[in-house]
Amino acid sequence: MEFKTITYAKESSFLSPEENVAVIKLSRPEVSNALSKDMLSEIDAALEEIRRDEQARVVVLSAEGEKAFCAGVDPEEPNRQEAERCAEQILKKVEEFDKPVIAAVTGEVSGFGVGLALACDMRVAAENAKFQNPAEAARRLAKIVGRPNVADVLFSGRAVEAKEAESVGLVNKVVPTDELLTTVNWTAGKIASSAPLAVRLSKKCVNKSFEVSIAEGNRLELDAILQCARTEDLREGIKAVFEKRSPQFKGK
Amino acid sequence: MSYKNISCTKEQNKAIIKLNRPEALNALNRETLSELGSALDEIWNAPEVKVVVITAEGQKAFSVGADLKEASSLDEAGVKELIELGQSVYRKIDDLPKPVLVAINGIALGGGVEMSLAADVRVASETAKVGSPEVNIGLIPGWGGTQRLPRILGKGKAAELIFTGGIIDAKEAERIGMVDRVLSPDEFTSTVNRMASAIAAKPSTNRAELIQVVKSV
Repeated sequence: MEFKTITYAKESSFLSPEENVAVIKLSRPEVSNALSKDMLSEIDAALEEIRRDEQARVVVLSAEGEKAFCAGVDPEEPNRQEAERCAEQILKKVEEFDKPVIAAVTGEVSGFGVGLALACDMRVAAENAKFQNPAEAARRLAKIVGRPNVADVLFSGRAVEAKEAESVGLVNKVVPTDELLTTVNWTAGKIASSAPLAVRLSKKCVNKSFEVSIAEGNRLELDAILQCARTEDLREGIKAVFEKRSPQFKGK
Repeated sequence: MSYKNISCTKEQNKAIIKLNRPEALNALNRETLSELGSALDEIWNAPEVKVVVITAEGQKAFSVGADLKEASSLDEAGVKELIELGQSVYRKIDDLPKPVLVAINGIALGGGVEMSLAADVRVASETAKVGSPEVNIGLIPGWGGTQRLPRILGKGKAAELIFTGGIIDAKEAERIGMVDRVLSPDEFTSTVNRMASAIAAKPSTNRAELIQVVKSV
């Protein structure tokens, strides 16, 4: 598919020549990658393509240029409410997407841009990353930094620089700007080489963890384990352990 | 009571459970989990016990997790039983109305890590490594790992560890909040002992208080 406001490509990783890492890049650097309605529907279309693509095991969400990851909903959008509603739908889609999504964050992140980064499963940030003015990010933030009080303090109106974001757990890791994409590629490669069904089911269980009791969470885990137990991939994985080699998962 | 795969000793007001299948790197089979459950019941009903330490002998392994040899021989009903057994024993660690300190003396993987996550406070030897490599064999952490890791580390770090199946060293585990203190291997046993005594002197299941105690010993 041809895109105008994003680019979409599949990449290989350090761990495998197979192009199993799907990379969506927000590509409107001239407006700090602000989310227009067109851009939101292109992200949506790219995600649908990735969902259907069995080879794609993990998604990287990054941005063109080093200045800004995403400045939130485009202020030029004539119907702001409508655009925000679309943005929230995309955030939810990313959060619940059946393959893990890693945000590669550079530069300025604000408003729905913060929400978009937080909707991803994990975040790696460049040293120049700076989070500000979150719109709907508080709920997501509390799950990520673990401490609701910290979430309040963090977003009391001031900007949060990369180092602070790392120390409170808002981002998984901060790296020099020129190492961002290689670091993300490494993490993506690790995920892509794991058993796909196991990754998908563990994301489901992790996502539910803040909504259910431990006992209920345990039942979700049991259900997931029983699904894994029926796969060829589990037999291959255990065999590989005993043969002291890397497993070759087929997603079956 | 005497056990085959673990030992459980009481010293004054401390109970010390040691995983004791060194030849299998303390892999957790059904018998080991059942024994752990019984030891916890025994401790639950012993009013003199004010703190529980779970650890293992030596510097090599705390536990490499589920016993894959046993697990891979089970049919679906057997797998279900094994998962439920581990889950219920770890919930017992969670629910025990006494502080539980897990002292990670060596490598802790999969079910070994999940055991530690159910405890109130975790310390590790500098030489220890921890990780949840289940997705690398086609499984998910099924003994509470997907539920407790996000609660302890926050969602982003838990997701990274679980989805990549990564194994990290003790220092990194401390940095991300997976263990509360790292100890030198030479002083590991003695420091853990002093920590347990300090907790027993002022028993609490408040995590913030317990972290204070283990950091101040």
